[in-house]
Amino acid sequence: MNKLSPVIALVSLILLSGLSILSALAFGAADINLLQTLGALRLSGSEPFVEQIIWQLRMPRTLLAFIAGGGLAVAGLMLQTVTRNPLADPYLFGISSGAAVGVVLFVAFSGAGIFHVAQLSLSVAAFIGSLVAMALLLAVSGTAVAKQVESMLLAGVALSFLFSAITSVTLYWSDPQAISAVLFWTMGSFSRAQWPHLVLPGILLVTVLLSILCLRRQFTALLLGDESAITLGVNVRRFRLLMLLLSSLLTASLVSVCGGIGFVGLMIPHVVRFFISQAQPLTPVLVCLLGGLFMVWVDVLSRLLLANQELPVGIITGLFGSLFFLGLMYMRQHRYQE
Amino acid sequence: MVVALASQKSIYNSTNETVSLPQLSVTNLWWLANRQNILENISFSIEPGEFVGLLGPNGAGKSSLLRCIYRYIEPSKGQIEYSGKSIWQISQQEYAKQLAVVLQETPSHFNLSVSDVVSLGLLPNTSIWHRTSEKEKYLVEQAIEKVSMSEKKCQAFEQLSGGEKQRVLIARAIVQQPQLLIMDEPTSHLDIKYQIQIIELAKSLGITVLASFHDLNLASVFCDRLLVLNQGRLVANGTPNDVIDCALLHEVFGVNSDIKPHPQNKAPHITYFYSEKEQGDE
Repeated sequence: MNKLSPVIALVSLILLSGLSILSALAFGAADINLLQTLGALRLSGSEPFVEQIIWQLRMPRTLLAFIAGGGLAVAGLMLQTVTRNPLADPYLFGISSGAAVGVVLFVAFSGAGIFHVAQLSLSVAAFIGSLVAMALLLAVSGTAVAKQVESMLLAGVALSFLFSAITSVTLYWSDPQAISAVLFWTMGSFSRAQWPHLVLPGILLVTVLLSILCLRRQFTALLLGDESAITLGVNVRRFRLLMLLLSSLLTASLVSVCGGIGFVGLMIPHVVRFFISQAQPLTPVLVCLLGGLFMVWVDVLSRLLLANQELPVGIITGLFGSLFFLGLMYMRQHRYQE
Repeated sequence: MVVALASQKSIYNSTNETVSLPQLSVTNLWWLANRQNILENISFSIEPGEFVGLLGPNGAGKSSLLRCIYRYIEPSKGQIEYSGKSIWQISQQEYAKQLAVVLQETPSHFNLSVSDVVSLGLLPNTSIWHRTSEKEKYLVEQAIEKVSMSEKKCQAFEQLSGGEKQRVLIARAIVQQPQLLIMDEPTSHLDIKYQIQIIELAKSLGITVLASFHDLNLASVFCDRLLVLNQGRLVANGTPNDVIDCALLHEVFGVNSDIKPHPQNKAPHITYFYSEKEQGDE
């Protein structure tokens, strides 16, 4: 069962992340090579055109991809731990469908096409939608400890369905252009990334990471069941609500700027657990880095796979993510049998 | 008749206990679930250093009583005091420094290793900024050593046998450094060798222990005092010699038996009779 050294994993992930972000900057519609990229980064004697593309378009986009991947993976880790459900992910609880409802209702009732509205108001609408979903979920799951997990999971699934129904109904009466725009948005994309978009998710990600690093023992204690955690002095009900609140806020802030990107939150924590025990203090950091790394490359693929067109990020995470995950499970199964 | 006997015994006990403050005292405890009395008017107390066994048939309320004591459930009525203080007025973390619990069944998710589980015993004694010190790592190693699990400390907790899991959880309790250890049927599903090993291990810690048992003979040999629950009521409270008699066993457990002193330490040893055979002259 013993595994990789967490410190080695940390160092290599940090190095890989740095390299990946650098090289991701060199990919895109405009032909800019790695040397030009490095030149633009050092702000030394490169063409202002290249500089502008790198600093105004690709840099915020790549960093947003990194923060989104890391944030979703950490949120997934938190929810899987506090519900002890290996299938929990940030979208299971209706947070992304809440955001979609916010956007769709906003577009439908403001009467403007999705590309004519200010980006910020769209993000605000999405954020409000997620917050509504989160508030409903918290209201239902504030119950007694023994039933908390069950009511969280069931209410989350019910909310997701409810919100999808509202989205579908609203789209049904909207014009086709709005539909395709909203559809693209719900499948996730980093193409609208700007520097201001990074602020809230970035702050939240750092806050969440710091708090689970501080509360790591409580976090691990939950893996032996509520009753055992209580005997170790953990206020399980309050702790679980706090984790739900933090992960939902993080997810909502991400969904509101880059749409729904499934599967990262579900998969990355499991991938890390294949190699490193969840009780290791560094595990949340590793999950965050690996999620970010994964998403940076997913974004690169989304720009490269089709010429002159972008594939929604959610499709790629779903496709490659699940194949990779299935492969890993297959290999692990074989290792057990030997 | 048994009830009358029991109340006599508890009166006898309570006059003895007024001398010093008991470590744990339960007074007029009631717990209702779905409008049914699970625990009815239970009172007893435990002195420092005692090894107390909790007996009773399935569904008598043993686990519920223990759950009230370790604050998993809040009683409907009555008082539980630890060193003279109501347990609900002590902070949860403070209480966890005093009391460690070994549960009947502990699920484990996402492959925690044996040393991960044992290290959790450090939790009540650490603040959120705290980094695990060398001394604490040593404490964990020592505890694993003490329950002879050193060779398996890197294995997954989930893949251990029932007895090994119990030993690991006792190691966790040792790391917790409590004053009182509660164990809910620590010996069920274990081979007899491990039943004895687990109890002797708990006894060797030299702290107060409250444990529930299925095996009456085991309880009789090892416990200083026995509490017997039947249908949510405390029907006996006293030394094994006082508590274990044929009438009580018949009344509470519905068995016919013969009782003789155990050859080793003279504790009452029960022999059960099977089928319809009655117990002859008694």
